[in-house]
Amino acid sequence: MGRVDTGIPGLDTILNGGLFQGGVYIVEGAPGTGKTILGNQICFHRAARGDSTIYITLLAESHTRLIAHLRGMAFFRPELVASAIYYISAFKVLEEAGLDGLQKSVQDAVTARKATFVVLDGLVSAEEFAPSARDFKKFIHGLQTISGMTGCTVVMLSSTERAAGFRPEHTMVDGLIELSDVVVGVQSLRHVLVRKMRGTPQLRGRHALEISSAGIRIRPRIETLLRSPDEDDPAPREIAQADFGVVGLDAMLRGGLPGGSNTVVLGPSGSGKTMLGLQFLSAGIRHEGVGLYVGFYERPASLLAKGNRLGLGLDEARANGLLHLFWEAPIEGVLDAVVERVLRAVVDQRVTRLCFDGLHGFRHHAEYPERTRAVFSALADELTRRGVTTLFTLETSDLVGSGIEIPIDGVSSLADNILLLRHVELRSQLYRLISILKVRDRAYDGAIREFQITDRGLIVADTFDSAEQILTGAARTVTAEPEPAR
Amino acid sequence: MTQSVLIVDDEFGLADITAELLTEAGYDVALAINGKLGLASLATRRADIVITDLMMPVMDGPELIRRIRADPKLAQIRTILMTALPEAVPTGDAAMHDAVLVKPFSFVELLATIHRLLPPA
Repeated sequence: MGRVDTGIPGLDTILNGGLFQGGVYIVEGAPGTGKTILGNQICFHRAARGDSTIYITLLAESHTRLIAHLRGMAFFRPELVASAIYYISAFKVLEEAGLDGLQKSVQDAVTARKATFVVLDGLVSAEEFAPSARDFKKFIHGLQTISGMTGCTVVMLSSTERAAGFRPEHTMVDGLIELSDVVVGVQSLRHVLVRKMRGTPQLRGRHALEISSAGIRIRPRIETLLRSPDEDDPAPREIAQADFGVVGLDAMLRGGLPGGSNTVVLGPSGSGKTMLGLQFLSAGIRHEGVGLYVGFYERPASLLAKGNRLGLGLDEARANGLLHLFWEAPIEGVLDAVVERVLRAVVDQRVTRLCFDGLHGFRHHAEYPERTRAVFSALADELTRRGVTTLFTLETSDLVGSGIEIPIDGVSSLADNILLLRHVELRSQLYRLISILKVRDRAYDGAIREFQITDRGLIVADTFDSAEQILTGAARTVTAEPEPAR
Repeated sequence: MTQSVLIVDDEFGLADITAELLTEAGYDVALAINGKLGLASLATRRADIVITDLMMPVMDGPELIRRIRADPKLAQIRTILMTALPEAVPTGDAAMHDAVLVKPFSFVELLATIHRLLPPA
C-alpha cells in the first residue's frame, strides 16, 4: 500500500513515513488541541502535491470563520481553495438525512471530485445523530468501504470532551492519533500520541506539538529518534586524544581526553567551567578542528570577550568558521528542538569538539525533568558515534566545600569522564581546585591540583603540593606571578 | 407582487438567519442546501434573485449560475455569489454572476446588493 505523507514536520517521522493510501484514521483531542489546523495543513500539503482534497465539516462552525483563521497560517494558499481543496458543510445533510444521508453525501463528493484525501471534521456530530452504537459502527464501516474502493484516504477529527475510554470505532480504524494540551506547573504543553497505527512501526509515546503561524510542527522525542547503542556495534574508531592546551591538566589526563568521549565538568557557579570549555574548544581549533559552543546563560558577545581575556583567539576562529556559538535562553522551550539544532550543526559544520555549557540549563528546556537523563544519554551516544569529543558542564549547588551533589540523576554513570572544579576558602581567600574523578578505560592522575584563571589562560599547577597545602590549611600566599602555560 | 429570493448554501446557520431577516424585510424566501436542490426548487417555484454559496457538495455555486443562465426560463434571474474566499470567484467568461458578496457580510450590505440588482417593488 502506498504511503501518504502528511507534510506536517515531525508527524511523518513518528508515523514512519505517513498514513496509508486508502486508510481511515481518527485524530482525537479536546477543543483547542490543534485538530482543525492539523486537518487543514494536511489538506494544503496534499493539494500542493496534486491530490484532490475535500474538507467536510459536520460542526456548526462557519467556513467563513474557518477560512478567516486559516488565512493567518503560512500553509494557506488561496489559489488551492475551491479547486484542489474543497470545503463543504454536511451538517444539514446530517440533520435532514441522518448517517445514511451523510455517507451518501461523502460518497458523492468523493466520486464527483475524484478526491484522494478527505477530512471529516466533527465526528462527534455524526455520533450524535446515530440512533445506536451499531448504526455508528455501520457508518464507519461505510466510510471504510468508500475509501477502500476509491483509494481515498480519510482522516476523521473528533473532539474528546466526552469521557475518554474505549471507543468501538477505535477498533475499526487503521490509526488513532491523540492530541492533548496539558498544564505542567504554569506551562501549557501540547502533545501528540499515536495510539494505534496499522501496518508500520511508529515512535511511541508523547511527542511535543507546537502551533505557530507556520502551522503545526511535531518534535519527536529525540531519544526515540537516535539509534540506541547496540552490543554488536563496531568498536569506535580511534580518534586522537583531545588535549586542553593546558600543560598541567593534559599531564593529569596523560595527554588529553580520549577522542570521541564525553566528559562532565562538575563545579559550582564561578568555578571556571565555561573558561575550561572555551580553552578546550580553542585547543581543538588549533588542531584544525571545528568547535561548537552551546550555552544557556552567557550570550555570545560576553563569551567572546571572556575568551579574548584569556587570549584564546575566538573571534578569529569564529570569523574563519572554525568556531560556532549557540545561545539558547533558559526559558520555556522544547528540549528536543535544542538537541535537534545542536545535532544538525554538528553534522553540517563537521564539528569535532563540542562544549555543552550547562546541562542544568538544559533542564529548563525539559518539560519533564526526568527526561533529562534519557536525552543526555541519547545525545552523548550520538556524539560519540559521530566522533565528537564533548564537554558537558553541570553546575553543582555547593559554592564552597568538599561535598558534591550531582543535580541530575544518573548523569555520572553515563559520563565517560568526570572532572571536578571546586572553590576552597582559606584565610579569606578563595582558591580553585581541579581533580579528575573518572576517565573511562584510561589511567589518569587522580590528585587534586590548584588551578588559576589568568589573562594568559588557565594554569594548572604541575604538582599537587599547592592543592595539598590549601586542603590542609597550610597554603602559602598566592603567587603573584603564576607560571605561564607551556 | 412580493419579490422572491432563493438562498442556496450548505452551511448551517448563515442561510437560516439570512432567510429569516429577508422574510422580515418582506421577501418571499426559499432555501436549498446545494446547487442541484436549488435548481429543483426553481423548477417549481419562481425566484427573482438567487443568492448562492460558492463551494457546495453535489453542485457548486458557479455551476448553478451557469445552468440558470443556460435555461431560457431562468436566464433573467439575478444572481449573487457569496464566499469567504474572493480569490476563488470565477473571472472573465466564467463569471456569470451579477454580484459577489464576500463573507462575512452585514445584512445592510446584503440588502444593498439585492436592492441594486432588484429595485424594491
